[in-house]
Amino acid sequence: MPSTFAGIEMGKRSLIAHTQGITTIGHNISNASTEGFSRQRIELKAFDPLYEPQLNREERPGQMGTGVETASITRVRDMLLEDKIVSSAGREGYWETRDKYLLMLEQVYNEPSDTSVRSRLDKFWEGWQELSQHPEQTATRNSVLQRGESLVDSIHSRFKDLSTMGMMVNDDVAVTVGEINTYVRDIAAINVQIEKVKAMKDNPNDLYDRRDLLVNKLSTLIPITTDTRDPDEYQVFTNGGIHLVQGKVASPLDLRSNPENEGYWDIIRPDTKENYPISGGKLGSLLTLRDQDIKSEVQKLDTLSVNFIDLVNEVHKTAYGQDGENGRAFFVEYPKVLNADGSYDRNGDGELDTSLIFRVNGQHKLNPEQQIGLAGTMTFPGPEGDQRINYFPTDTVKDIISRINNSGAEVAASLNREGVLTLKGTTVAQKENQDFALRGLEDSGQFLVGYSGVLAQSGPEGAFRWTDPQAVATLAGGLVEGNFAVAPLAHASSWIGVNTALKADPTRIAAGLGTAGNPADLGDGSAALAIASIRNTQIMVGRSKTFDDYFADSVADIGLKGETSSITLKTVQTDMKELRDLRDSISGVNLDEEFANLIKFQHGFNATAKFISEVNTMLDTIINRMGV
Amino acid sequence: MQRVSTNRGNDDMQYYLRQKEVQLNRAENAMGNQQRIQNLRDDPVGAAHSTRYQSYLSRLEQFRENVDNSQSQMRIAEGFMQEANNVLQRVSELSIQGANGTYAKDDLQKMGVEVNELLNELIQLANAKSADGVSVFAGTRIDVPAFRSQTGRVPGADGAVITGVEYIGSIGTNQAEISENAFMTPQFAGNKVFWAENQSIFSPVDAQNFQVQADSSILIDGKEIALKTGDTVHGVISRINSADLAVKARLDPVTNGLIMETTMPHQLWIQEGPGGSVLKDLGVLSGDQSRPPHNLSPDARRFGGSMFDVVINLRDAMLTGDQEALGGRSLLGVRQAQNNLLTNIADLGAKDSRLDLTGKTLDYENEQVTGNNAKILDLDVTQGITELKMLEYTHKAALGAAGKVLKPGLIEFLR
Repeated sequence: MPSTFAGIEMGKRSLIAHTQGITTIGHNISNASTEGFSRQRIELKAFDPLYEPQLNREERPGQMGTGVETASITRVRDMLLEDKIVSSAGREGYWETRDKYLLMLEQVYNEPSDTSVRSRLDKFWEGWQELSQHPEQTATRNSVLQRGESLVDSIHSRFKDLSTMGMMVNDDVAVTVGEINTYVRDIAAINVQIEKVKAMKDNPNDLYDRRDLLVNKLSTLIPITTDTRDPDEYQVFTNGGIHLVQGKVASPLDLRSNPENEGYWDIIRPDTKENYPISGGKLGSLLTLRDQDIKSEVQKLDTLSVNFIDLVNEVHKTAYGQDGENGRAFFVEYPKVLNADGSYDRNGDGELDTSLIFRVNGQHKLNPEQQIGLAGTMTFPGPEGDQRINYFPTDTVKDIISRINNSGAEVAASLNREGVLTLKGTTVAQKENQDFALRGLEDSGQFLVGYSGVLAQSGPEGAFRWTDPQAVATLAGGLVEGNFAVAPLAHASSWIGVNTALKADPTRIAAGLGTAGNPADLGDGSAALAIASIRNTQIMVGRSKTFDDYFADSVADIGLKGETSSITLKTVQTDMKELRDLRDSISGVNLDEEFANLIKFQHGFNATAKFISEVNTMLDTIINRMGV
Repeated sequence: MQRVSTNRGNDDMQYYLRQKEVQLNRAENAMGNQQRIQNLRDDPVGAAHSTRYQSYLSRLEQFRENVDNSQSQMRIAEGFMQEANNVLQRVSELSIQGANGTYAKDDLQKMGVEVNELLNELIQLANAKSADGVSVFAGTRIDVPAFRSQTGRVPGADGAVITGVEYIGSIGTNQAEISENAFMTPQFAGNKVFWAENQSIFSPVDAQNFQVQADSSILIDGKEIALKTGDTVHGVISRINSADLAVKARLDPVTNGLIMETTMPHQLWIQEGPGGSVLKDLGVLSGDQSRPPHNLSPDARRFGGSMFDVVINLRDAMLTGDQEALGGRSLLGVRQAQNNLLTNIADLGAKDSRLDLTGKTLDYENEQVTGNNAKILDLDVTQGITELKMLEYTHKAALGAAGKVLKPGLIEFLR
């Protein structure tokens, strides 16, 4: 026999349940625009009916309903979709960052315009052309000088732009690591709270939402995966498998300045304290930009400066100024080492252990079209170990030169103004190798030896190796100035400048080569013409054949990078929008829906109230009207 | 059936409006600066082409300037050469008149006086300077007059007259780049233009047993000829003869001395290479450090002289009344000088017409390259405007739709 007051008890439960329902709806409506919020649903359940099947059960029809209760309040969220979003967001972070910085890099180029480095270089060559036509005038010399200065300025300012950008990206690396660490710590802190709530057998819906939001944000910075297999220990890994969060333990990343890489930050993994190169995500994007894209732009500019200084000075030093003197450089030269043979103590142990040589010249004039009639194998160092280049008797000199240049070896070959074979060091891929230093020349046959006169002896015993501080002795020309050039100080584009002796007196600018060792006549413009024709002859600026090629290649290169990034970014953003829309369609709040539910609960509440009032009337009848 | 959250419309609208605004901004910028390429990424390959075109254009403009400059230089030289030809014509007339044997010594002397004045005029023309003070016929030694004259007394003349004229310019010529890797010499050295006869030098030294002692070189007319250790005199001769110069060398069958002679009238210009002494050993050069042509061995005999030598001979023959010389050597010499001068004028004319053609080609190329560059860089305005208008319309439509995104909800109907 149920209690007389069972109706009131049932009505009370119903009122509480409906109120909770309305509150949940109010919570949903309030958070309709909250970032990361997922709508919550109240789950109602019929209260345990009377009676349980046991011996004290009354012998009457059973299972009488006792009303409603709230089973749980849960959030509506598809966790598989969530994982997909987390794993894709790294790509979005990567391309967003890359696109932004690449656009800035493109703008550094200032192309195609008439104020770029290229157009100032054009003006510089024009200056020499004019000097070749009017070698007697001081005005044309001044114009060469001024154009040289303006060119130098533009190279400096591009270098500054690039290095500032390197610094910016580097700062961004530090800031991003800081952000990552904040998220990591917050996630760990939320995990602690979640554990507590779960211990009470409640659903920490809003805490879940906040944690998911943090994980989402973290996933754009660094590619991560989450692991919920252990319900008590929520884990976040990097894609390399390193724990960032393990339950309540946060393992933040660390930073360390790397002196071998311009003092830029290295990312330090939390467990082993070793350098941890990250790819993907905003952080990976920043590292790629800093250590590859911007670095290669600086290397390209340095290649331009180094080759440019060397080529112009090579002619200018042999030519005579108006005062009849020669041997002056047009651009200042700062060799990496002051020793005439380029010997250098690389490991800093007090003993010379390396030769830093940028360029070596052969001793013999070659005809590019001539078949050499020799066979052998040359060995040059490349980015990944030695490159072997075979040559055969039917090859022409031109064939071999182009084979060297296309081999991928870190050596550029060309014939100079006098038709002599010239080998130059290029920029290098590995940080431990020196830019613009030849690391090795070896020939099993006679092409580099007797034919072109670069090396004194063939075979491994006659090879030029930079690990030998007296490597210059292996050259056929030996230690004679002009046969080789010592590698320049790092970042030539930061210190390139016109020789101050020429600035003080422009008549010292050389215009004529002279004849048979006699100073040039006043009207001799041959040297100026020789310098002006550097621009359109094949002189190998790094990997590019001519200055025109160099500029066109570098413009196309950065432009294509930008094009790729903007297209990829668009694709990635569309993908992410699809995924987020899908999530929104599951977890987002729909006000119409909420209002409909509100009405539902409201009516339920009203009806329950009516029911209680009916029960109340019934009790009133029993208690007050029965006249007991 | 998919659910749509209330914020979805708003989010989508923002997303698409942002995209549209980026496009619109791009189109507006393109219209603003009339450039097709705003950033390199818009057309990387086109931008690369354009940098090439721009550099090439600046080069073409420089070549055009060089052509103009060369032409003006050559026209100045041509003026003086034509004038010299006129003077030489009068000299030639006088020489023919004087050679017919009917004039008395007095008359010939009067002619001699006139020839002397004409000689002065010729020297003045040869030493001409252009408006910017550059000596026209002195090669690269533009700061000195091309010829230096010595004066002295000659029989029959009143006072000191010019007795010898020597070239003190150089044979170096300046080149101008008139198109990609094509060069042109706009200058004419005085010792070629104002020369009359083929010159030859006879060495008195017996070269039968001569051998080159060390690898060295010699320079003839400014061209370096490499010699190898052990070359005999015949080796040296064959190297000279195969050097593509207007100079031939041979061995005198009697004295076994080296003979060098020009095949076109000009002055022989012979120098040792750095540190060499081959020509001194062969008895051609004196071995001192003086500049050509003053470095010839005093023992070597020279034949063949300049236009001035010819005119001086004519004058002296007239002044002394030497009928035989007048009718023979002098007449021939003047004829040769005139021939040579006309040859040089013709050469100049040919070069000038080559420059004309080159200039035209450069202008044509300039137009083509400018056109190509414009195709890459410049905005097609019609297309630009259409694109902009299209975007504006769609943007308006999008905004109109956005106004309806906040559509009425259930709440509007609840009371």
